Amino acid sequence: MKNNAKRKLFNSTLIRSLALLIVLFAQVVLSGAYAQSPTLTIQEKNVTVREILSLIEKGSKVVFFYTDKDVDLNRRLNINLVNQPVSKVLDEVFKNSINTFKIDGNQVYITKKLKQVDEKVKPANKIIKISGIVTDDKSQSVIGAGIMINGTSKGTVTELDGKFSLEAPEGSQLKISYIGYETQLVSIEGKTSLTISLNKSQKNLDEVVVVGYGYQKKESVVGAISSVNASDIIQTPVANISNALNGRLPGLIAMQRQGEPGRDDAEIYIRGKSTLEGAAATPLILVDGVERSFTELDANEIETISILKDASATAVYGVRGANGVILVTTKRGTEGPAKIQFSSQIGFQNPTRKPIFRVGILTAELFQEAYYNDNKNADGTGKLFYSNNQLAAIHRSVLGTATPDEKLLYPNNNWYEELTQGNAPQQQYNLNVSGGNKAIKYFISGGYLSQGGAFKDLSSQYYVGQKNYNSNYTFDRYNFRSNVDINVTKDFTATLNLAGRLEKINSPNVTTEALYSYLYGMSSLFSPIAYPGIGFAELPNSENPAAQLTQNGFRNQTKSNIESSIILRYNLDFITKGLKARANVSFDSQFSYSSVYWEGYDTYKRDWSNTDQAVYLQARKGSALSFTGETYWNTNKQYEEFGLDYNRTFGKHNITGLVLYNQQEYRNGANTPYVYQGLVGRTTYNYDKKYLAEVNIGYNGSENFAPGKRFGFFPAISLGWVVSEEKFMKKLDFISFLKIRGSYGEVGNDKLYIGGVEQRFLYYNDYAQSGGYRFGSNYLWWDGIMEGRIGNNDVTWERAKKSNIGVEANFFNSKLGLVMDLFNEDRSNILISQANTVPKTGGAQLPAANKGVTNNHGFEVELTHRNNIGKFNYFVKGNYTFARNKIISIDEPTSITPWQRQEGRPIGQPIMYECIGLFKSVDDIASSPSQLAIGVPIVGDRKYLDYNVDGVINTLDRFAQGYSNIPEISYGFSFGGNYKGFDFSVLLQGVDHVSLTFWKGQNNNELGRWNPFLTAEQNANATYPTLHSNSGSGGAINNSVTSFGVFGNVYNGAYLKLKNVEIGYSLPKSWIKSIGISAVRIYTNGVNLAILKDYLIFFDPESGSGAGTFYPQMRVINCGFNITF
Amino acid sequence: MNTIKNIKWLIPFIFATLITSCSEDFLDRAPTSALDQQKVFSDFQLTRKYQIDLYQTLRGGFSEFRYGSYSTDWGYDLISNMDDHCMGSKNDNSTFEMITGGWMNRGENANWGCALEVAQNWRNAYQAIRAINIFLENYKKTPLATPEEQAEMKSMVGEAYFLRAHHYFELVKRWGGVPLVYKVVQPNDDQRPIRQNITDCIDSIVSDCNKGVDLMETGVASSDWLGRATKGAAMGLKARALLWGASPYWSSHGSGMKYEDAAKAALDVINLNVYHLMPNYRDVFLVPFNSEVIYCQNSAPKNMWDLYMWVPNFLGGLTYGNFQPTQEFVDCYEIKDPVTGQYVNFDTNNPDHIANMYNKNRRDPRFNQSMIYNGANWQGITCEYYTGGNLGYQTVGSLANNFYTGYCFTKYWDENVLVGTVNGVPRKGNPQLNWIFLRYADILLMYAEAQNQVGGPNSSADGSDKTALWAINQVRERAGISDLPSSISQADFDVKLRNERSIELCIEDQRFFDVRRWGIGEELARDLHKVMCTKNLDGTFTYDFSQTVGPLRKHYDNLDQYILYPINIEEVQRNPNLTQNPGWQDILRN
Repeated sequence: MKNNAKRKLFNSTLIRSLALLIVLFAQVVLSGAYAQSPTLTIQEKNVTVREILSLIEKGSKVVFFYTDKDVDLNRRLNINLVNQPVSKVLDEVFKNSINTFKIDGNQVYITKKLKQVDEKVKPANKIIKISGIVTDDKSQSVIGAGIMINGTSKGTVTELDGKFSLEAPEGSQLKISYIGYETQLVSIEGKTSLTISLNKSQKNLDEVVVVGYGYQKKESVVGAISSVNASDIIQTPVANISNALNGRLPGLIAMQRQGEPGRDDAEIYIRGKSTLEGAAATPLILVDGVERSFTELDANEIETISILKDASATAVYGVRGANGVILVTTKRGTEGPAKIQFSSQIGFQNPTRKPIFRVGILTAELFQEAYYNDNKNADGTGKLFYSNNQLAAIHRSVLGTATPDEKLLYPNNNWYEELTQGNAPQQQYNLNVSGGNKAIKYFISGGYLSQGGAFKDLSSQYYVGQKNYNSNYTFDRYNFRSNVDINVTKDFTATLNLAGRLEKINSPNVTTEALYSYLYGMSSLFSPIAYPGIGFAELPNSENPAAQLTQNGFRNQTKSNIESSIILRYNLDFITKGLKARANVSFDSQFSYSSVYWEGYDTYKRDWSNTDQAVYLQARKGSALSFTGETYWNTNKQYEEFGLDYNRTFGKHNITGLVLYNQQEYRNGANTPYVYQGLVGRTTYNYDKKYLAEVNIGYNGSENFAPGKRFGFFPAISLGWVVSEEKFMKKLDFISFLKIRGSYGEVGNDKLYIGGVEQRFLYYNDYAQSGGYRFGSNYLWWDGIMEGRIGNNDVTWERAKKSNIGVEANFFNSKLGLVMDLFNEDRSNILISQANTVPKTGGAQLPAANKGVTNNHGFEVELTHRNNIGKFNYFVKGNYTFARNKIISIDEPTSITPWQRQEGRPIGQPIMYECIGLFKSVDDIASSPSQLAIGVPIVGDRKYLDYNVDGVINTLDRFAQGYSNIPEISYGFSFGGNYKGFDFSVLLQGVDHVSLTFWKGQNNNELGRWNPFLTAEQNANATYPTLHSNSGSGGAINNSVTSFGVFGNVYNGAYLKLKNVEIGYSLPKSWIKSIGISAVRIYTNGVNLAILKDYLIFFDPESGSGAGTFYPQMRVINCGFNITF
Repeated sequence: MNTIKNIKWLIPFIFATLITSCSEDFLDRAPTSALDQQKVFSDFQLTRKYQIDLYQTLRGGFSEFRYGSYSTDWGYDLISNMDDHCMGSKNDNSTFEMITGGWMNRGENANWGCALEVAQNWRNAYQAIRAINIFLENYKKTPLATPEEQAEMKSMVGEAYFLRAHHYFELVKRWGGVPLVYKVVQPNDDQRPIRQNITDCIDSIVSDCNKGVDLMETGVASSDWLGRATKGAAMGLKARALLWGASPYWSSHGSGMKYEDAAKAALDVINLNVYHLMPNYRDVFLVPFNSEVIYCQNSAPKNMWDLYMWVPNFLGGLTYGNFQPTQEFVDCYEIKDPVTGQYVNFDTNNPDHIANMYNKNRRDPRFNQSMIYNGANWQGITCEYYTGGNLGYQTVGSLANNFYTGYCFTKYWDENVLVGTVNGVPRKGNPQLNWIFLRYADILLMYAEAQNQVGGPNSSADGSDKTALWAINQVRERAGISDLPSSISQADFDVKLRNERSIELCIEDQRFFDVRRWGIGEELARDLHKVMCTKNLDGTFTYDFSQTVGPLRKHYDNLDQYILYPINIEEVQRNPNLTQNPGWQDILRN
């Protein structure tokens, strides 16, 4: 019934023409013929062939098939025909041209005229009927591929299911072409049924690139844009998409600082950091045109991820585009029968790095030494922590010959191994259906992901009672998406995008940071995890991490997301040709709910003073599981956009235009809504696809600024020259394509942060109802009022002046591709507090002002090589990004020590002491500059550089050194190939020019320490300072085991990782065809597989600086299959 | 079909409507209901709220002796470490940091550390002064409807002047001459004032006090307003400032202040006849708003003072005892001579004194009222301060500092008030406690000190019957010890007076500043001692006084450095017009 109804509404011609919409992408121009007139009247002077074809399409119901390069569309002619049939008109058009045509029903094929000699030489063969199917490299059927009989103008296109049939002379060849794929010649050789599998083309010139608020042909793009496709993203088995991008996009720097399930977003920068605050340096991220997070998207739903880098590409985002833009587009349906895909994968996660946990007698010896160092008398006579008897007992405990009591006293536990598990599971499933007809196209997807935690379930071992909850780290994600496009009329399309996601994050009721600090702080000797039959051990100076993990309750967070958009497009050709209108109304909502359940646990201490019997003292009393709190918040966003697109060609002049209005209102809990609005304008012009020009304009405003300061004008202009289109280049046929482009423009940033705190409404000057005082014998509270913030009416957005020069080139028939970009950015108006420059005697914190200035510059190179050796197709790709920033102006008094100034140095460069060796003797300490400002040194401690040569080591000897913790250099190298059904790919990724500072030692060479029991000569080659047992007081701070990198050590954070490997096999069609399956691929892949080169021991080199108490990054090894029905 | 066709004409219309309907008002999101200066000072109730908040700027000792961080022992004010009567921590880290320059390693922006404390004292005072200046520049705009409002406003203005004097005195006693800011500094004004000399600073404090005296009454309007400043507070602060300026260090540095003026100002407070000594010394600190209190910070935030500063181990092992009396201080308490009945100086060489040093009936009663020691009873527990005893050296987890001097202060702590439990152990102390800035006993001692300098122990100001000797004996009598004889010499009187101040006003934020104004810094430079206690087999105790505590005291070699605070390095960088205090210039060398 439904189908019948539709047929009434949409006549068959309409359906037929829409079915071929896909051909638009194939650069085989298509158009619907809606008018019913059998004859045409065309009277035009000096018109191009292209225009005439377009007139014919409008006036008749024919559809043209041709490829751009075969038809001289720009040829001009005069035509004067009245009431003539199409064939007559076409005769007139193509007479004396290089082209000819053939009419087949409503379809008209235009091809090059064949040379007469060819036709004559060919013997007249028997005509046979041939049918076949065309599939792409993933064995999916291809709709709309052109099938031509080679050397003739005869041919057809594939139908919805990829099938075709035609009649051809026996022994001839078929030429199969399709956008993005290599054109193939197939000999018929007596076969009547063919299966043709297309290979991806290296020539990407006809590709379409996602740009701000639209698409452009890749060849005419003049902005700096890079993108990565679904297939590359999906082969990295990470739960969080932001961790799949590293090394794949030149200009993108993504560092995964930690790996906690559900909370492991990478830190992402485009072309490094140009502004002073990290939170203000993050790019704008849009999913399907709306500002949304992309990190928890199911990779199966993503079509492409593009990054916009220069002003030309980002100016349309005006006040928010300065840090670059990430555009994510999701998959959409294409016309054809329903295609069902199911994928399933299961993998295991292991930390990429784990701490080396010292066990055995060595622990005792190290502690003994540290204790001796911290407690020895002035004459060097020792105070030792362990007696010889104790050491003997420790020995026995390690050897396993200890008495039960000795085992409890000196347990020799490897806490890390006891608590953590290798091979935490991860699994992901996705089912999607896509397809469509003339009226409706759809992509519907549902997925589930689950990620297990890094810890063992110790409940059966230690939990007292019956445990009915999960206290491990786990992450579950359920997602669906439905992208539907409806052709309401021939001029009117409506799109509905709807996505839902449910994320559940579970963790023990202890902060991750605290848990890891307890765990990493454990000694193998001091205490057992629990006393058998008694309960958890109470530990000195620390919570018991096993108890915290097992019986301390749990935290649960549930996030539900709905993202929805309705997009309407209307063809306004009736006003002027090439004009289209569009509207996008989006509504997103997120609800997050966190609950905390707490359960206390009992702990016990053994009273070792009682030697007669085992006496346990209860140190703390547990309590039953109880609900202790919940937090929830709702965010929602309304986004509206209305725009007009214009796209028209006048001869060799191609013009496009865009005017668009948008506004957004984002509500986050009870906060005042975040709003912005703006106008976007773009006009592009190209002459003969040779000379390109583009102007982009953002004119928009942010609520953050005072009236009159809200709106800003952000223009960008860019020019391009496709050198390879010039005649003089045609001789150089090893250059298939060469484009030079340049852009200059200004973009803004309205994210204002000071000290990591977001600043809003800085223009606002207020007195706050806050504070107060208690008066009277009853201490009654009286409310107060105090002066609040002093407003700054002049506060406005940051401004980035960006310039970019780029070259895009393809060589050797597009087998080798090169993209190179050089960029410079001057960022000014960065919001800075004046806390460091305005004295406190005024009693007020003066308002923040736009006084910060930075520069950021660098370059990116991307090289691609694709080729095939017989049936072995392969590719090799490499990209390299260099971005260096410098602070020109910051809130810094001019009187500050020159070597500690931030101005003139990179953002975030550490200011540290430099360790120049170890103190060799008491005399060495006495004759060296005093280090008392740091602590009282002993022999074997670190000796620091007296940078200012004043004879004293103090804070003035710290100097700027090393790099920031955001790499200046980031690179990726990948290669892969396929042969018959087998395919593989490998990605190597690395960074350089990066420094990390850790609170925990990153050297594993305490075995090479300065040993107080050896002579100075024996210690001459010590590679590690002498040990301390106390990190806090007095001299031990010099180089305590637990507070290492603080003074003096900046670690080199450079690394090279084997980031990703995938090996796959597609089952031969013949095996699966009989059971109704069109393709099956099985694969295994992995991420973070190996750290090939770095300078750290305990932590993954992507980690941020700090205490090191974070959930480690994970290596995932994964296998799965993908079935297409 | 017609409907669908006609949609196309609707589209441009919709666009035009939508685009024109969007205006800049969309971006007007800042809160508009909030207050501004004009609104506040056009309404009496709001003006009063503003004035009430000025009291919040008071920062008493409980805030000053702040404990910075859970597991480290830096962080409290210099005062806790850098006098000779209290130890701030076992390792004396604060002192160590200041001496070595290590304090600069953690700047004013650190979570804890001396530099933070130095910077906060400075910053908080100037923030308070700004708030007061705003009030004084604007209060006249506030309409006053009734005579009651007029009267209250008069007092409120007086209080503001007094509070400004208070904050300037807090600055001056730490840094000496400081920049005097008497107007509200606007963003475009000069932000780099210079330091004024000490005479100008004291003069302006006295001037503000005088305005306060003129405008305020001697008592508050009702008991609901207890804690508001009064005439007596301004008079007392004036006496304190004048005495401070007349003291040896500052008079030798050209302050030009005279003891006569200080004595007269103190006598004015005594003659107000509003304040009286409490019968029981201990009650002064436990009974709020008692007759002895001249001004205080109400319900001062204690910042876990009770946990960190006081008796270790009493709160389930969580207390730290980071604030302990030295043996030098304990020796200041006089002891009753069994023969004469007179209280005499404690002599460690006198076996009778040693045998009775913890004897309540022999020792100055304030000893037992201020601290605990081996054998003292506290919260029903007999304190065992020896290795193996319940409060011994190493009985509990290494987090606690334990009894590193052998004594612990209990002043301010009411052992009978239960305020909750910690780890199941009852937590006792005062839920709300006022920090007393100035009390009557201090006024008496100020008067005694100043008047003795003017004319000796038996002289009096203004020809009144109240002599210096009378004043000190008031305090001694209340404590329960014998009077000083009238035959005492002027010099001996001064020695006794200084001892009296240190005992009577212990841990009241006085000693640190007293030793500096008296110019007796060398007393700080001596090694400080603790008591070690051993329990003998027969149950008796052996005490050893020879062991030092705070081994780094020997680093006090640049005495100049310890008279005044440094101005924190960041502030000098911000304002190069500020000259650094003596002894600290080196730290700014680039």
